[in-house]
Amino acid sequence: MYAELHCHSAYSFLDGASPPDALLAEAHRHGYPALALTDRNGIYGSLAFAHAAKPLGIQAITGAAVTLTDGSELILLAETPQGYTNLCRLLTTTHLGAERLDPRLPHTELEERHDGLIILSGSRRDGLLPLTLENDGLSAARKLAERCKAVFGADRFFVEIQRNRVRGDVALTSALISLANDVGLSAVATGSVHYHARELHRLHDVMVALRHRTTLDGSHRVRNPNSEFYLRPLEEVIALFRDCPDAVATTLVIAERCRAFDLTRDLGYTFPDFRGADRAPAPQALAELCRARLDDRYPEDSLYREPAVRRLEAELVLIEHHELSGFFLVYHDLFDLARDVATDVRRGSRRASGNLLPGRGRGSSVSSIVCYLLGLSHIDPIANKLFLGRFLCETLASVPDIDLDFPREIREELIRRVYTRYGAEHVGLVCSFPTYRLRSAVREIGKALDLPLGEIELVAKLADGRADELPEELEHLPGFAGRKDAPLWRDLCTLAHEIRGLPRHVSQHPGGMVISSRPLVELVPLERAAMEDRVVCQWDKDSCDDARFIKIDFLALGMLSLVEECIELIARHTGSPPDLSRIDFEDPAIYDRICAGDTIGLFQIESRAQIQMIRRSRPRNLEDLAVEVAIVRPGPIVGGAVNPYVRRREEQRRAHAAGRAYEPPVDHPLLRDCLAETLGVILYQDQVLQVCQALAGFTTGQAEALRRAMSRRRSHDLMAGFWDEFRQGAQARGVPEATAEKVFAQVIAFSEFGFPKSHAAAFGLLAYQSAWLRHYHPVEYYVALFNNQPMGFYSIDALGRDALRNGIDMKLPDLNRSDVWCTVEDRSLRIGLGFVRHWSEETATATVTERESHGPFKSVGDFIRRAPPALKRTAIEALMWVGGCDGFGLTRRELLWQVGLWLPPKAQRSGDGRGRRQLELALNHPHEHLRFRGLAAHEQLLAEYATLGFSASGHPLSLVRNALPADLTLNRDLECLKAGVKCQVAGLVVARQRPETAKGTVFLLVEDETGMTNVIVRTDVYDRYRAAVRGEPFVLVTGKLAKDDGTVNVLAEKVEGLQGEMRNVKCEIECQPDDFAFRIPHSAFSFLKAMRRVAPDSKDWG
Amino acid sequence: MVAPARTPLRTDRLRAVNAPKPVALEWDASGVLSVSKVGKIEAILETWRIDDEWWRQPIARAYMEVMLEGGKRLVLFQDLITGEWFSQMP
Repeated sequence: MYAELHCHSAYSFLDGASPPDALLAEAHRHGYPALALTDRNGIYGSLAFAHAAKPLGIQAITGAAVTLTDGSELILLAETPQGYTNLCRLLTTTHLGAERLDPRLPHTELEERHDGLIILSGSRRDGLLPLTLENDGLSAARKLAERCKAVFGADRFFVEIQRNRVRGDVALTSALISLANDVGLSAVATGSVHYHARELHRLHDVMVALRHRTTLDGSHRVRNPNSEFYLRPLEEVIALFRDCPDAVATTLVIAERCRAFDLTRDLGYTFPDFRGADRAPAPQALAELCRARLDDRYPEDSLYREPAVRRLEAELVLIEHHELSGFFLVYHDLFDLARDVATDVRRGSRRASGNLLPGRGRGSSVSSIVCYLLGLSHIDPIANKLFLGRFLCETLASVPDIDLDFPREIREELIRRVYTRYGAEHVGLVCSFPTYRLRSAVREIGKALDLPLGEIELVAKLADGRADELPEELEHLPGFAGRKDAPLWRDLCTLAHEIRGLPRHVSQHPGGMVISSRPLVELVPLERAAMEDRVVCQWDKDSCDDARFIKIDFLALGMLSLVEECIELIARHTGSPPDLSRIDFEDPAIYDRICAGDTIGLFQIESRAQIQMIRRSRPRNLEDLAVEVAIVRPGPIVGGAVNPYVRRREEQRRAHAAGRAYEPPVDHPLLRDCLAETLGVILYQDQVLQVCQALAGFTTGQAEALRRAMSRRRSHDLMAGFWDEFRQGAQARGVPEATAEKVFAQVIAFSEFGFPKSHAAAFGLLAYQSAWLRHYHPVEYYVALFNNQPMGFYSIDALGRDALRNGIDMKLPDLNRSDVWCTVEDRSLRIGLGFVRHWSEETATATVTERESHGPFKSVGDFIRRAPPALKRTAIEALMWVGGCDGFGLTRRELLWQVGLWLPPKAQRSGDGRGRRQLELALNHPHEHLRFRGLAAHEQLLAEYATLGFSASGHPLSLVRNALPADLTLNRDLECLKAGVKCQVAGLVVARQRPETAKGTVFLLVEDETGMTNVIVRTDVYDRYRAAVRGEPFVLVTGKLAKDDGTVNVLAEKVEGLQGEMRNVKCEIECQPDDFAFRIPHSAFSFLKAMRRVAPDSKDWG
Repeated sequence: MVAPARTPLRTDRLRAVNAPKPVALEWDASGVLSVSKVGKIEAILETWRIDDEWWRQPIARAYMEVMLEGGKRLVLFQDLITGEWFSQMP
């Protein structure tokens, strides 16, 4: 027998080609008794590995390969809980004590902290001992071995020998064995496993090439020489080491010793105490707090008082049962901390008196009355009839999630304060592991294979990111047919398939934080995040959940930042901030605009699909808005809930208009209660649990298991595993199997993304508030919207034109009027200097400060003289191109000419960036009075796109409208056409969507001067015109008009690039002489060609 | 003497050094392996494997360094793609 003690998984990031579960499955097949996971400088996959090993009867050993300061490596295995603690601390030091992405551990640290660790000498290529033997000779290696023995002990330091059929193995292992014998150390056999099956050696070769940022051809010296680094059958290992059976036997001895630590059992995590824990026990403190606030929220005369009291008592019992009182109180502490942070952040601003919450609850926690009373949620769970079971129930298997949304700046500060309050060693952000998808796989493997970069980029751009197989995608791409069998491309196809789904790098979870009363660095290693000052732990949310860590979600919500800013701007204008909690939530004017689909720029209800849905379902209150927020999600869509809901809503409207009651149909009478409010379909996650309980009699334990399954990765398989229980339960209640099957299909559809009702209610409220702000304070709203980009479904270009359509006047940046960010100026939106290309927030701030301190800039010379030195010539010119200096009374060409007089060209620039030293004397330049003509409209538009990234002056097509085909239909005229007629529309592609739920259909939002047209491209059309559909900024669509219940779509039959169609069109734009910075178009064709370079990318979703 | 730098490179005059030669391996009745027309193998000193160039012209070879009767050393390898054996000087 043999246990593998040196094994890398894909969590070694480009040094392992198999996921941990594939390694375990192979180990199980071969009959391994134990397997150590020793990823490079991390234990990212260890907890999932340990959990997955249990049912297979394999002992999971936790370890890591650490890189030492000199680049060599050692294998550390956790023998005891103390060893695991030391492993975590050492790995943390490895990461935090070195450059990010180049972790190194000083030898001294290891020498000081090795209790409970078993140390192996490392692999033949990088191991500390083999490297010393190879580089410094036998006597140096002996000295090192003696030192290791003295420091770590002969029972803890082992000389690793590997036989991977590499030339020189025999000599090396003989030397290492005799060295071990001489020094009195034991040798141990290991496999240096980097993939579970031999065939994956190619993928590993590619990974090594990528890790060294080179091609396969260029990585010969760093790649493994053969394909022998796989998990071998036991008999093969024993045969390889038949001359040294003791080394094989030692693996089992080590594995046995490592039984003293089990990661799934011995972690010892505890949550910190709440403030005041010394004064009262947590259940008592929580109950007192909640009961005290109950009277405020639900006064004696409240309609909801009685149910609220009952609900509170029930929740307190549940919370005490799960010993979660302290958990809620710590959240309460944190929210108090957030209140302090918000006060500090808002201090001095007018919104400080706007009754704004520091943040808002989201997710299932909003259904809890305790959260509501503690201030962690702003939605009344009783009035909104929110179901608690999705958040809390009797048989809770893991700690519930309480997610909180904050405006960005408050969240940033709050995270800093949490570190300060609990101590840096006790807090870490949860990490996430983005995986390889088709595009990233094509780009990276293509580089390693040295395929032409242009072709790789084209494939990555045009291929469907979710396609299962690259070969089929290549067949459909123009110019790539037949490539799937060509050399290198064939390998690309195979490797892209193999790498798919493997973790690519460590990233930061959007908001999850873990706080521990025991130092977190003793439970899981910490490492630097990409953002400065941020530290992430090495486990993702699933592992943190498995470890029963309490994850606190502080999420940054752009819309809350927008609301904060908007309130501030309104307060500046009106003198007092509006109280958003007391606005009229039944305002028909707001709902009329929403029902008309005028929702671009609003929270959650602005997307193409949402607008389509809203026109059909016509929400008239907050409950309806919650439905809108929840319905266009994969869960309800896959579950087939959308169309029945819309149909029934229409029937309900008709029935109510006729004064009749409406009873929605349900699949079984047992579902009538739980699906009544959503007209007989499942729209919310909570309803999934309610349906299972009502139809199949699920116990709370089963429902809890289902709830957990629903929120995990691979949730579809996990949820499908409940079918037998569901079928039997339904059968026991007399439900026909066909009905049970139909309902269960709707249930497992929620393995896809869906919302709990509480979350939808919270977001629906914010959606309404955003609509209210936009309706009554449009300028302030759009200013805040611009300043908080990127957020939402649309580009700033599309949002700007929507603002224009809504009557907002947009003013270009002006050196003497603009602020750093957008501002309200005479009820118009003035674009800020920080929006201009090459201007940073710092240079814009310095320029504005200079202007405020010493008066407006009077001339080009004055501006150049006084502007901050960091402001480069390119930035100054960019501002002039968009009219930022028009106030000086010169044309833009004259301004640009003058800049050239004052500032040397790039090639002659001196060290200070602009060669400004010549301008110390405020003299006029002798050539500054030369006259040049101004920019034509299309030149200005091109300049806006090139320097702002969006247009404030209008739509590009308005300039070439006369040159476009005469039979084009404008968006506003589509309403007047009959359904089924053939039509042609053209415009800028604002968004491209290929939702997974649409079975290959692509949706384009094509914008002309009058609005956005929804174009539906079916699979066959997509296959024919894929290059235009995926890549062209301006398209010409020929198709049929489809109208359905208030929605207007064009069913595409042909999609072409508009520019190509205009090639032979007569010149319609005034000709201009060539210019040095922008190519000046001479025709509609060349204008569109020039636009192609500067047009904003469409927002691609799915 | 070093050739002048401008002397054209005569690729037709390049020749591989230690090029592998095809050989046949045989077992005699007593189970001793021999390289035909070269001699009996006394001992296998080391074996190793190479997998490379799979993206161009795959190379997969199982090598062994052997000692022949009389003490001569030889490197043999089997091309794992074609199954053919070759010999090279060590």
